[in-house]
Amino acid sequence: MTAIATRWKGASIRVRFIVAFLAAVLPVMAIGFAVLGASEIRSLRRALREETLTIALLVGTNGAADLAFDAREESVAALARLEEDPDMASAALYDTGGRLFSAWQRAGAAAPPAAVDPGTTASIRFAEDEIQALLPVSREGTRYGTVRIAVSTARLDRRTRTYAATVAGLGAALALLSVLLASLLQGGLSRPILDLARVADRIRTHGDFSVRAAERGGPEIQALAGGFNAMLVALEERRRQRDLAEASWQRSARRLAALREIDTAILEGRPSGDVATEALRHVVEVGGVAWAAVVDVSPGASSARVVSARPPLADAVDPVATADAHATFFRLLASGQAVPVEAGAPEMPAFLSAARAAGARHVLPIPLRTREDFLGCILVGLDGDLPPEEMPEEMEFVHDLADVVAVSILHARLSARVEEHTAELERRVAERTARLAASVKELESFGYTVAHDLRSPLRSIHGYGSAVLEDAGALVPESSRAYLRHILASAERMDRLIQDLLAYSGMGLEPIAIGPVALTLVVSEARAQIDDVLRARDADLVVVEPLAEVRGHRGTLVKVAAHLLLNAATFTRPGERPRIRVWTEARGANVRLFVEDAGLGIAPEHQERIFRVFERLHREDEFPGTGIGLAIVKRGAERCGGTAGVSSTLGRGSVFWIELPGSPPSVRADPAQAGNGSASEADLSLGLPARRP
Amino acid sequence: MSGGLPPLLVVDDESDDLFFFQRAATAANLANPVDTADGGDAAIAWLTACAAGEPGHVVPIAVVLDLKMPRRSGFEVLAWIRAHPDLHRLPVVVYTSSSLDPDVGRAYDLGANSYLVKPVTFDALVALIRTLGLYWGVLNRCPHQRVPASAG
Repeated sequence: MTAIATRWKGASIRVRFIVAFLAAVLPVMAIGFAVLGASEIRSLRRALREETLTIALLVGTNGAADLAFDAREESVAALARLEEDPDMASAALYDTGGRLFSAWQRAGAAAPPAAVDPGTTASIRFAEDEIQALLPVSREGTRYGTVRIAVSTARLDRRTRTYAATVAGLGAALALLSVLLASLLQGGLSRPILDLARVADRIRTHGDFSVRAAERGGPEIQALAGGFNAMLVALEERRRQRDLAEASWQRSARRLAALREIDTAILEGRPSGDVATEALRHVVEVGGVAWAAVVDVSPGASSARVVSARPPLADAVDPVATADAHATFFRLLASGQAVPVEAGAPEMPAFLSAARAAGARHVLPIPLRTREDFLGCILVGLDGDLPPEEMPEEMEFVHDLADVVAVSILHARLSARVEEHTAELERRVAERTARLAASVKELESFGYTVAHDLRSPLRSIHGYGSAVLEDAGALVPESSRAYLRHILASAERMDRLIQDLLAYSGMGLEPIAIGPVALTLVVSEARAQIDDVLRARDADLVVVEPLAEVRGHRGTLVKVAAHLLLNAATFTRPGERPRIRVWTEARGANVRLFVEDAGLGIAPEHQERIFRVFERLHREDEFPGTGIGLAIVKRGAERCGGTAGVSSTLGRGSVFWIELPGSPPSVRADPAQAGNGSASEADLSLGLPARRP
Repeated sequence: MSGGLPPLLVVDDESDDLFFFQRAATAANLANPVDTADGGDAAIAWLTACAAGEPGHVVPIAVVLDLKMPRRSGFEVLAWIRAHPDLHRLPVVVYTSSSLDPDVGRAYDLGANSYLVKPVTFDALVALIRTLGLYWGVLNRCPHQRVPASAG
């Protein structure tokens, strides 16, 4: 079954048609002919029987007399006449006793039996190839014998054969007809389909959508071909649109590439003239553009300059070289419309002549502008085949290029301005640096003068004062000696002041190198420097070792630490022993050095003030000091990138601290550097009385 | 000049400072005589005479040199000494009122042997001169000392 189904599926329309035809016609024909044939044969046989009976009746009627009169010879002769009927096979008369009376038989036919049942009634039956009838022979109620007639059934067979032949012929004719019809029908159906297939194939192989299928055949086929053709039309249109879109896309891609190229040129910092030339190269590649130029209009639209043109201008043509050209250019710019470049226009500005010479018939100004500035325009010479409104894509590209060129011009202008500003700034910086250097020099020399010239008379005052005290001290009263001692003390105090001031200002002036510093060394050095003061005041100094490492400048930090210690040792209640405690604490990445005293303490309102120069909370004769020490602490800590502060309670003492960047373990590896005091650090002006042996 | 010991040459334009130095030297009982020059030019003239072996000019054990002087500064005198064929080894002790780091550095760069800051008080000056005399006059051996002990 499956094999048949498969073959059926693979069969052509033609074969299907024929098979369908035959399948429909042949059974009908076979049944029809069978029914017809059967009825025909039945009627033939009935006719044959009746005919045979009739003959038998006739022969019996004729033979009755012969039987009655025993005219055997006449009877035989009479029977022999039956010979003329070609279908007759045999005839026989039997007497009342059932014995054969007379007989006739055609040559080749079966002989009649020798005797029959004398009492037989009329009967008729079909034998092998003949029909045999038995009929009593009687006349007026008297039976004279029996007649037997055998008629050949050859006629019947002939008729049957003829009929069969006719049926076969009809069947063959029908089959032929069906094939013909199928071919005819298939031709009408499958040819248009094959036509369509061929057309489709051609479209496939040649991509030619212009071919059309023939619209012939029945209405359905025509509808199919019509639909197919309509589809082709739609496909062709779609393909046309796709081709257009693709072409447009490719143009867009090329233009994008062009824009990117120009962008790159701008980013590379190429001069705006180069960028303009590059942009124009792309502008004139646009269909319909014969000439193009970039015109830079100065801010305020006072002047214009052709940056670049393509094809290039024969010589440098300035659009505003003449008043006329100037007017024409700005009129063109203001209109924003394409203006015709008439062939015979008199006094045409040179830039328009150049456009005409290049084949332009109209010149369209495309403004170069950024959000805020108008920078100039691109003049586009159109060959006039299409008005600009009908080439939107091209115009959009030109506008895009115009934007890029605008950016490059703006970029160039801004760069020029930035360069100007930079140069101006550099000039100013140089100027100020020079002024500053001069100031620094001045300050340094001022410091030097202060150090030398101011101290020198002090030495004289002190020197002569002591000389007088020494030489003539005994000659004057004790009060005068006291005055002399006051003079000497004042000179000494002034010298300390000068030295502290120099130390304080020197901290702001001299560049220092920041590096890892061990606070332990710093504090011990500071302690040694003010050792005599500590001793004099019997200070109890406790340093909580180990102290941390910080980043700073060692010399500066020694000054700072010394002033902190000095400060802590100074401000104690009269007669009280200074108690000082020094320690460090880590504060995040920073380190705080604390110097705690149990001294007078500082009221909160003064805690900010005491770090300023010459700020004192006590009179000089109460506590010695210049009023600069804590200012030196603050400035020194700040110079090292740190801070200084105090927390204090009046009457209970103070904790002064400096906070400095901590020295990470990785960079504290160089102890030599930490302990390497330079020559400049060897001399520390702390404003202390010189300690000499 | 007492014939025995070579002198200490003090160069300073400030007559007050020269006076105090001499007075403090006396107070300090300095063994070496003190010669003075009141400026850079005078110092060079004196040293040139010493180098030439002129009578009355003995090469000092050390030059005590002020830096800030009119016309010829202490730095120039120092440079002159260090460039001199005979005197270039002469010990030079800078003695000045400037405690500025650049001056200190420059003095050592030019070949100073020591750098002292002038004290304000007389007592400090006496102490300084006592130390100076002990160190340069007694302990230190000078490069040009031809007759060390026999002179005394």
